[in-house]
Amino acid sequence: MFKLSVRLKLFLGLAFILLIFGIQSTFVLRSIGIISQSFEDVTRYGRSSKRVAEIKANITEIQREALVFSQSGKDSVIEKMKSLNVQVKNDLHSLLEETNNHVEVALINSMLKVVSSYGDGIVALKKRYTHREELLENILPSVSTEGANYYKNKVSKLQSEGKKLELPAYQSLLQNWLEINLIANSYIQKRDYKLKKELLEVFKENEKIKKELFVQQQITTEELDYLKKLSNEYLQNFEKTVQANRVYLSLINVVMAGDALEFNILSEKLGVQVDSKLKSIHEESSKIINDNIYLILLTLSVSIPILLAIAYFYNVNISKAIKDISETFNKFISKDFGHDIPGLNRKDEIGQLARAADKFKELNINLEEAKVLAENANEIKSQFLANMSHEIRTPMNGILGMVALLEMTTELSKEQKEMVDTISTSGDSLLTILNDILDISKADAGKVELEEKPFSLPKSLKDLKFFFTPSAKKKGIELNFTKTGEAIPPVVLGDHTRLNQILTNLLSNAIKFTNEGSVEVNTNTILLQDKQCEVTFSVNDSGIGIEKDYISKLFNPFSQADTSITRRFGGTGLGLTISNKLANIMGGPIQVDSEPGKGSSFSFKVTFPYEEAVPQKVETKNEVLKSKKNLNILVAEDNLVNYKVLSKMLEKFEHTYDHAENGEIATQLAFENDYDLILMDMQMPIMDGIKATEIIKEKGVTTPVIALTANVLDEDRQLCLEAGMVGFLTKPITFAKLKKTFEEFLQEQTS
Amino acid sequence: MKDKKYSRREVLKNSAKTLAVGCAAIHAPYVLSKKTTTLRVLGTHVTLQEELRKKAMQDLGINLVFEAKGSAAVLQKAASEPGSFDLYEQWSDSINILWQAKAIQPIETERIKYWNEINPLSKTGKLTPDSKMGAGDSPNKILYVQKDGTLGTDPTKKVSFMPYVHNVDSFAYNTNIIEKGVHYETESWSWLLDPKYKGKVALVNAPTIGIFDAALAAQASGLMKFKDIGNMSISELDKLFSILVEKKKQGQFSGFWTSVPQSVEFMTSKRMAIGSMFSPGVSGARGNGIPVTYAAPKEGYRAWHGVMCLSKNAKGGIKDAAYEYMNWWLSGYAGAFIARQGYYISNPERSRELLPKDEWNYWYEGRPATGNFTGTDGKISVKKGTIRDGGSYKKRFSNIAIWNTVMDNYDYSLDKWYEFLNS
Repeated sequence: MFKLSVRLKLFLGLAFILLIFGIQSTFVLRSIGIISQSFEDVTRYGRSSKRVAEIKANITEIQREALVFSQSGKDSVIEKMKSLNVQVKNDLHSLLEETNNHVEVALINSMLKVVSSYGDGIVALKKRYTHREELLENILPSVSTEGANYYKNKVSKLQSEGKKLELPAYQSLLQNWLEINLIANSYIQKRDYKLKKELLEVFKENEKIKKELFVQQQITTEELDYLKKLSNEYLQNFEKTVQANRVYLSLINVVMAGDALEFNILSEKLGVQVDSKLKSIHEESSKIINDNIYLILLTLSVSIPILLAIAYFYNVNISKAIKDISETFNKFISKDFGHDIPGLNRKDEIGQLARAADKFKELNINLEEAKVLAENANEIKSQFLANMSHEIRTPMNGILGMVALLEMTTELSKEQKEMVDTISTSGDSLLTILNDILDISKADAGKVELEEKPFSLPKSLKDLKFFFTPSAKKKGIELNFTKTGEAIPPVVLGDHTRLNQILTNLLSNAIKFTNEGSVEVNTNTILLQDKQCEVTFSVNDSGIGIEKDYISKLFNPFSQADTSITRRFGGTGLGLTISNKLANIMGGPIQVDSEPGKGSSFSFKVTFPYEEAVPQKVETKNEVLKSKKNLNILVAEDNLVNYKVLSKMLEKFEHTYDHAENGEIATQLAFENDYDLILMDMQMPIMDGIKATEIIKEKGVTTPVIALTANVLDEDRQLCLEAGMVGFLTKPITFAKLKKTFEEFLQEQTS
Repeated sequence: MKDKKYSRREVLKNSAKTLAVGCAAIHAPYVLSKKTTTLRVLGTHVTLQEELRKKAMQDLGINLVFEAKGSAAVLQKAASEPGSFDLYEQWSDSINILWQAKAIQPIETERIKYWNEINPLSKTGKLTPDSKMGAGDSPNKILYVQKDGTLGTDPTKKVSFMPYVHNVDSFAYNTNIIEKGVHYETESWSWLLDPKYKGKVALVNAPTIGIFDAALAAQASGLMKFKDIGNMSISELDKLFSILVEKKKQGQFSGFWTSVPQSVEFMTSKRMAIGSMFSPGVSGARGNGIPVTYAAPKEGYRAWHGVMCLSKNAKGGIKDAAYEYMNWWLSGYAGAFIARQGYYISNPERSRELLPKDEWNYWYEGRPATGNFTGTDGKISVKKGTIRDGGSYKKRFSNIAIWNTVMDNYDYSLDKWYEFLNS
């Protein structure tokens, strides 16, 4: 099944569904066909039933007409019978056309035969009736009349001639002759053989009388012959009439009546047949319809599970497979490559998709490995840079410290003073570069952690103005600090130092590249919900501006807009890079808007939490350390140059001090003496500063410990704090740094 | 007396025959030559069969034109138009009418070549001296032309008809429906009116025949007695028909057939399980697979006799040809031919030599068939081992209850028959 393509599977599924619907449609159409056929059959049989009834009525009518004809003998009646007969025949033919049921066909054919025979009867009936009537009404009466007239004339002649002897005989003959005719008519009507016999008796009697007359010579031979001929003629015509009557009667009474009876029986049967057919059509069609309903239900009950199975198959085989693969992709995106890809063995499109996913997985794993390698390489680079800076910083510390001590403690010639100043300036530059490289390394390694301490933003801005006003004045440009938006909250939480770093960089750049006009620092404040405010810092100048093409490269390390700039204006070219990285960490990148020759605008946004409470005294005006107290300090430092520089500085502050060369000695001294402060180097042989501090704190010594380290990384600072140290002095230690640390420490001590 | 319109031949070979007759009519002028005499024969399909016509024309060198019609029509035409035929073939009940109508002339027995071979049945009414004398018009009563011109039993040299084909009829029944009875012992005309067979009985729609079947049934059932069953009185007819009407109202009768094919259809469709039947009808029904027994009723058969009459107008060469044809009929071939259809001839011995012995034994002697016999239509009409219902010629003709007869009160019976049909 997996070998078939999804397209083919879908096609097959749809084809199967079509097939099922096709089968059902066939059943439904068949049912409709059957119903419609039944309807036609019912209509047809309804028509047939009506026609059968009409036929029966017409046959009854014909029989009635036959009776009417036998009474009246009218041609119009025969014509009506004929037309009725034709109508019945036509109706039967119509019936025959409408049916193909063999029982009905046989019945109708039988009826047609009967009707045809009856039709022959109608034709013959007229003939036979006419023949009978001719004999009965004309021929027989005319013979009878002839005889009667003869006898009547004879009697009246005998009466007039007074021949009384023959008269009675002729009177009897006349009377008998008349009686014969009466009896004949009576027989024709009543058909009782007794009458015929009686008629023959009367004939015999006349013959006897005639014979007697002949014997008595009261009748001539001619007369006798004439009378004999007349008698024979009458008798013969009488027999003919009887025969005609018989033939006529056998036609109407037997043949036609039999046909009519048979026709009635057949039409009765046909009626029953048609009715039973109607009933059976109803029953059959109901049965067939029920069967079809059953079949439809059956196909439904078969097809529904199959359709569900198809749907289930699609769900499992296609939809779920696709979903599984897409979920696998999601896991891949979240770097979870530990799952097997479903459907790899399939031959269809999903198999192709799975194999594509497998390729994706492989590529991603490679990429991840490459990324880890790259990150490791970067880390090593950062570590290298950090170590470098540390290693360079320590000797620089010695150099600068010694230069400072040289200035402070020795009378120098003007030339010497200039040389020492140059050494000091070059050293400071080198340190700045080192710090910048260290900052970039930290930022790249993601190791910059922002402080969240309360500070006064307005004061910071004020300090900046104070700091940069002299250099602006020196270049003859204005320096303005403006505020827009809402009032800046007096105390905000944030990294004061890093913010100053960014602003100082931007401001010094602005002054550096502006030769006339002004430099403006603007703060726009928006108060947000949950005691937060968004401050947009903008440094705008009317300086030389930056070409549009260079703006994008502005924040890349070591790429000032023009390399000549570095040469013209100096600087490491790392300032903006660091500022941008810091701004990014604080809230967003630095936005640049510049036009060459007109000026530049650098802005960035920082969101600070703020406190509405009355600001605590953030920074007290420290008095000179010397005026406060002479401290007894333990200096733990393995590097002798550093120790020497530090000791000279401590002497300047007039503090007393002891020296420990490693951590172990430091713990011992700290335990044995009561120092006001311990300055602890981080990296020492035998026992490092962290370990030593932990031991000191474990032994219950409460003397504050301040770390001395070339490591400026925050993680080092974190280690120090965790070990129990309270402060942090980064190398190279300057007089100013030391002074500031003492001031903070003393303030803490007094507060 | 047989079916009015159809014969057994027509049942079995209807279309072929119609075609043959048609062809014969068309070809007649070619056959006709100056010397060839044309003889016109009017009759029914029972004897006017194409095979016989061809054979007779071949044997006699004359031209024969057959006009076959139903019995009533034939009689009507013959009685009123003697000039329309030369020879008339029908049943003995035509004789009185034709004779009284003077439509036929006496036949001289001296010109009938085999007159002396004609058996006593038609001459005396009895095949053998100890045979039962049937009621009604037995052929001997109307055979001889008496001196006064009437017809009677006293032998003369002039006869009203030449005796030839004859047979006995009874009723037939389907043994699938009605248990087979024993010939001459249990089989009885009374079965026709037996309430057991209500709705299964059919009669022939012909008063001269059906009335006797019904009368024999009524008498055998003990419902009435006749003074002379061959010549019923008005009151007897009234009583008989009142019985029949009552039975009909009770649904005894399933129908009245008017032709042999119809009787076959009645029997085949089981509309009739028992009823009047002619022997071609019995054969036809058997041919349709219905086990039909032709009863030999203990009360006796209803017999009929064929008559061949000479037209009043026949003279000269025509009359000679008519005599030749009559003699041909008795010369053997025709008798053998009709024997295979179950009919008897008045001088059987001349046909005997033309029939295979076994067939003779079956048809005339009532012996079991030794093989399957084919009828004149080529189909098997007798199956091996069967015996003719009623037995031998002698046995059957010794048990005649009545001859088909036109009774004195026939005209009256027509009215009663009409009432019966319409009741």
